[in-house]
Amino acid sequence: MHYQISRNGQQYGPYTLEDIQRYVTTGNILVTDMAKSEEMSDWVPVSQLLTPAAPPADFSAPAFSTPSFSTPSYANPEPVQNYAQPVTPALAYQDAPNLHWGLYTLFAWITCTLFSKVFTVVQAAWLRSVQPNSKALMSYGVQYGILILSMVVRAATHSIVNIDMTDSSSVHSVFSNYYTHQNPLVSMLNLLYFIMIFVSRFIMRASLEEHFNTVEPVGLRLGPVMTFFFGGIYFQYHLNRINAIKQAARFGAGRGF
Amino acid sequence: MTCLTHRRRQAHLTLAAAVSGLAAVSVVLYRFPPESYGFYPPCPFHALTGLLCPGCGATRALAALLHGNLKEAMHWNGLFVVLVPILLVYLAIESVRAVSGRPQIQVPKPAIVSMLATAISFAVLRNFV
Repeated sequence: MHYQISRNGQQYGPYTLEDIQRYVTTGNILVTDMAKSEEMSDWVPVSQLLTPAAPPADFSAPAFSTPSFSTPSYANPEPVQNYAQPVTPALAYQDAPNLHWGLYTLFAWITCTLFSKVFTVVQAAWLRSVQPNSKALMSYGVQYGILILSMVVRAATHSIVNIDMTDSSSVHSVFSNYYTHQNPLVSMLNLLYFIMIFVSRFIMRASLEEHFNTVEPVGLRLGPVMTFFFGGIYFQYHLNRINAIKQAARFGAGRGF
Repeated sequence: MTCLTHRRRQAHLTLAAAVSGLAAVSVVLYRFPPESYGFYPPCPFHALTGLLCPGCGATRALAALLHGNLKEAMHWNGLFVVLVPILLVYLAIESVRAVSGRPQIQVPKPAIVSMLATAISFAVLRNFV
């Protein structure tokens, strides 16, 4: 018998039951995905498909709360050679970008936070690819758009070109020249940018929590205080943790991360 | 296999974009030194506090390095100059691994901690000593 798999309105397959079991083991099909064969009238969660003895699923409840969803790998241990099987890209939720939070911090420091600006966009772009309704990327776009606008306005209105290099004995003196006589429009844009930093962080937090509590149910909780102060670095710490669990699950070390 | 090929193609594209980006930045830095042109982004930490962060001066240091002026680069940001070769090696290894489909390297925790500690010490020293 062949089954179609449905996730987020997109259908994949057909797959045999053996295929599905193998892909669940490798993490490419989630037990929360819906499955249906030609003979079946309704879509059922994959968890139910793999454990036919289980009582009918309550469709009003989230699929990931079905208690039997972690049984297949124990019931049907996979041969070791299966780990290198071809995988279907459309079904695998792409792993988040991996970077140790310590390296993230170091790179952010030595680039005067430029690195973290780039990397938050990378994180948000990844999140959008796995959670298409996420507004985080748009929010960061607006945030950095404001920053660039502020820089353009400052460059246009207050030029610091031709700083006298002979007066560069102190690093401080040259740098502090930069911030004198600021245009009110620049100040306003900077304030707006400052507010957007936190707006983006909290939008990102909401999207991450939504993703990792619905389609990839790992029960992620992100603290508001840590989000406020550390933003991308804090998110990255949790993304690395989740990546490690997913990687372990692909090798059959555990189920249901 | 499809997935792997897809990931590797993505890695190739990312690498190509990163290399072109670095090349473009280098050309701009070489052609328009930050000492003479004001369009480079300022450091937000310095803007807020007036203190120098571990990265302040890195743009000027990089521009000086591109002109082969090591002494001037050290003057702007010694930590950055020391870290540049390490960063380049790290990026090269990561790129090769990503393109060949191998997982990222795990940088040992003591190395990360000591680099962070060095950066903090550097920031303290450059501001208060």
